[in-house]
Amino acid sequence: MTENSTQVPVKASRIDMNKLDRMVRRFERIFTFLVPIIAVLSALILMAFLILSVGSDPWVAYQGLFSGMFGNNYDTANTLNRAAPLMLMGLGVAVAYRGGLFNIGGEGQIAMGGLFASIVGIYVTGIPSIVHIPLCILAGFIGGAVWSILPGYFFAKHGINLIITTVMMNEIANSLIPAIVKGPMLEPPGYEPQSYKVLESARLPLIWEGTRLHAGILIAILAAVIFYIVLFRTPFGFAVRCVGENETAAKHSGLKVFRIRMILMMISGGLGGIAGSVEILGAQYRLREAFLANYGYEALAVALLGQKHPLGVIISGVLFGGLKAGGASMQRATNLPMALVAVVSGVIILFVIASGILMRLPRYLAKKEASRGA
Amino acid sequence: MELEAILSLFSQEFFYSTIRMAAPIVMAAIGEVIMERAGILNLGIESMMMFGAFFGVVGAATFGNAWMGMLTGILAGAIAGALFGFIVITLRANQSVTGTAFNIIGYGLTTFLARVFWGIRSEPLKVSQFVDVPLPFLSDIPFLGYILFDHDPTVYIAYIVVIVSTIFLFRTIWGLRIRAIGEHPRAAETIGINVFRYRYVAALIAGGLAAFGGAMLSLAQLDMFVDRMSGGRGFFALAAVILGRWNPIGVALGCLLFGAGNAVQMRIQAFGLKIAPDLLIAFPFALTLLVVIVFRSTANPKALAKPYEKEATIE
Amino acid sequence: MKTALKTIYLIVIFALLVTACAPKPTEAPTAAPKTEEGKPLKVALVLGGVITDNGFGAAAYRGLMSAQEEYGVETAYSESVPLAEYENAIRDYANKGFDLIIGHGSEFGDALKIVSEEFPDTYFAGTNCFVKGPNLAGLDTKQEEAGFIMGVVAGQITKAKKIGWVGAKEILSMKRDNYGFGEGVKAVCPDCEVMTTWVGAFDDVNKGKENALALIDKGADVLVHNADAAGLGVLAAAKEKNVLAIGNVGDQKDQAPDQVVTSMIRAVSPVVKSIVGEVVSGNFKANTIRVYGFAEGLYYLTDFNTKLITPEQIKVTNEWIEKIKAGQVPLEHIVP
Repeated sequence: MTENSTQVPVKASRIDMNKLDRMVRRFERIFTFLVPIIAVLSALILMAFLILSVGSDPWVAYQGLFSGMFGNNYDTANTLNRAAPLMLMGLGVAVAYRGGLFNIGGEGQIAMGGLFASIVGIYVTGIPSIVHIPLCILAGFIGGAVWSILPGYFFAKHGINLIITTVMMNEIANSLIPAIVKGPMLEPPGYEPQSYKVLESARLPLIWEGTRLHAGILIAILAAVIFYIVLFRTPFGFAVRCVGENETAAKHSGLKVFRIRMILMMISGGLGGIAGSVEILGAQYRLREAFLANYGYEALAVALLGQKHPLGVIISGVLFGGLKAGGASMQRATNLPMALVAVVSGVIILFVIASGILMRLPRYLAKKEASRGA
Repeated sequence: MELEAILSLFSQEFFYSTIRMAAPIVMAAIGEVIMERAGILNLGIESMMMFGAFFGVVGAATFGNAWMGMLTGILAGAIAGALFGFIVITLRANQSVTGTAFNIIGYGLTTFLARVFWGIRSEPLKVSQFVDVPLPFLSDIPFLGYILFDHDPTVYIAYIVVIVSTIFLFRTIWGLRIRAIGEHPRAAETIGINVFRYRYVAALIAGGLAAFGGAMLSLAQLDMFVDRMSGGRGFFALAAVILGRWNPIGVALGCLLFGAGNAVQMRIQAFGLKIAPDLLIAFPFALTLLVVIVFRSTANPKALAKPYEKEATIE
Repeated sequence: MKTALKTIYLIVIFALLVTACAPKPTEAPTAAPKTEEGKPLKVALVLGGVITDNGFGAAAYRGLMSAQEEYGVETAYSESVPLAEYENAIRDYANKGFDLIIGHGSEFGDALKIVSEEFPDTYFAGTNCFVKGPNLAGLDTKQEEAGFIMGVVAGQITKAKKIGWVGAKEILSMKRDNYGFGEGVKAVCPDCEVMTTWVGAFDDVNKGKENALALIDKGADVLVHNADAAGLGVLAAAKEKNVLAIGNVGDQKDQAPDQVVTSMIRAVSPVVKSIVGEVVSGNFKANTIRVYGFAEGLYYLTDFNTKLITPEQIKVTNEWIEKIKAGQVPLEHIVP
């Protein structure tokens, strides 16, 4: 948006174009701060009526929501723990999107990443943490990447729509993981369909005294930094953005579109795999079915609300992690059905994404003003 | 013996079951075909099916009649479709995020409202249901008659919708315009087609059809609403659109394939083979994946999922 | 584009602000009976599913409510808790001063074990969990017994000697039920065949119905389910095709009045009530896994639909129930 603001079509000479441009920019700045706040506020007010209608106190409910997000160190750590896999998967979705790939296969990629990481975490023994943890994460990356090869190949080579292949791969993974935890990886005597716990040496260290915060958040931030450097500071990143913006032009300028897309899709799936592995290695310690249910789909919202930019993904990841942690706490504070809590977070997403239109208001008004002057 | 066992899978009841399982997904998927042909990607079909299933039961309970229930459900779905349209067409919000948010809300709101309306019950509320109506003469055709023409009225409506939507999309001026909008909205606008209006119409139809599919689950196949009863069928509808190459007949075939995969899977389970049931449950999805890879369906509408700017000069 | 990022950042800041400004919630005055220290006793139930699942979760909720009536305790519940949140949910209740926290389902075992060690003064219990501790009770329900008796009924009323059994997901508690069912059928009808299918979901009621119809297509004339909401679909199929069925978990005769022979009640109420009773009276039995079955009143059959079953068959069924209660039926209990 900002890049184009100098091109506001002003035909009249009576208006100082520079002045107008400055004005628009100033208003835009105010709006970018104001609009999301208004959006969240309006969503919360709307939902307050719904909460009131069932005889609960919205203030108590929202107090529960926010204290569950950042009420104390423990809650903040919980928010960040929820945020870490969302950020990683969100980065995966964002990186693919940059190259024109719409990866909704996060569910399957997360699951396979968790599977591979727990295999290495459980069955590879006798190595120190410093080797074991990276090895597990690498395995998780490979797991997610493997699960995205097939959709990636058929999209890049034959143009088969990613939605269908990734959704099917999700469903297959959703059935494969239970079959594995009930079969080859079942922890004897088999009370519960789950694997053994990963070895102590494979577990991510806890990094905040007195809380359950694990190093997953650092891995997510590291991934975001790498994402930024690769995408904006390397020729490969430039090529990726070219392919994403104009495939035909990229082809004509000699870029190997197929190869770039394959690599992108595998990185995207791999990041999903890491998301699954940090959850297993940092929080849950063992593989169970649907251990991160719906994170793959929610990562879409994380990536797109974050403008597909690494910093944005980190921030919106925290917001979504907070909604997860806070939503549960809100439910416990009020005894409202969990379903209502889900509605509240859905409406917040909707309001924030839909309020984007308001950001165009200053430019729209300026344009109107300019054309009136003409 | 082995061959006999395999043949016994494909009984008359098997084909009947295939059609019944496919029909709700067909309805939702055809709505999505029209929407995607107009250039809008609706990841929120699942939510619209849930609205249809829920408000269908609300309507049937209120009016004591399954048909009125169906209409209520369709109305709710169309409203959801219009709201989706407003957010992605007029407000130009990202369609995937909007769809994801719709799904979260769809599951949550129906579960919540079910509790508000009917309380925490030990058994769900029973409402009046569509009953099977064998079509005269047609249902007497040997073998096929029962499979095709001994269903409840909603399945016949699904047949009609497949045919009508094909004609609508490929043989009428409105269909042509919708397709033009999905391929190249700017060009369509220059020849005087109101892009927004057609996209809204597509969103309304899609919402209504998805809700019809949802209400089939609650009113035709059963007589009650259960939390999260759509069970991922909306996502399969999304896949079926691609499998059927954005063509209603192809989409219907894609849904039948999925139905057949499920019907086979259930019957194989009953053999008591030493295969993990979870893997058998995944069979329909693997089958779909295989088919889509072998037949390589491509060619989606060019402007799919891209918000349209009415006046190019704004940016 | 970068400016848009700041906006989301602001939301987070905003959230922090609201947290800082929000008043602490005041405890609602309560008339609940006091524990020996004089506090009102608070019981929390944590579920992975929902309380309206027409099955397992609903049974626990009924149990919680009946404990509330009987002992007047203050109750709370958390439903649809995702796997990643188990520990947090339990810990949060413990932090809020709840006296007894019940995790409903074998999947809570780990989380209960960990949190119970952090809060030695709080009591914890887990349904179908094989964990124990000084303040932690595992509650084992003998699924095989329920399955066995349902098998005894089904084995007698089948004419085709083919019985269909539909389960939700292949997890231990359901497998135990399924195993017991097979044994029960064998006990009364050695040449009967049991066909088992799994829906793969607890809430896909339409798929449950299709599974049942597939079994009917393969010749089953008695249907039994253990699939929560999906089981309602099984009964709908029985009604549509007019084959006999047995209800499960709650009394389900209204689902198909002319087909449901009887229902196996799994009254979680006595389990919840007994453990609440232990805490109320201060006699919490440490380091044991409590076992519940027919003898403990966990399971019982509802009144038979005498149009569908002969008095002779009812008599045989009751005899087997007595044998089960007396522990004379050799079933492999999976108990550590």
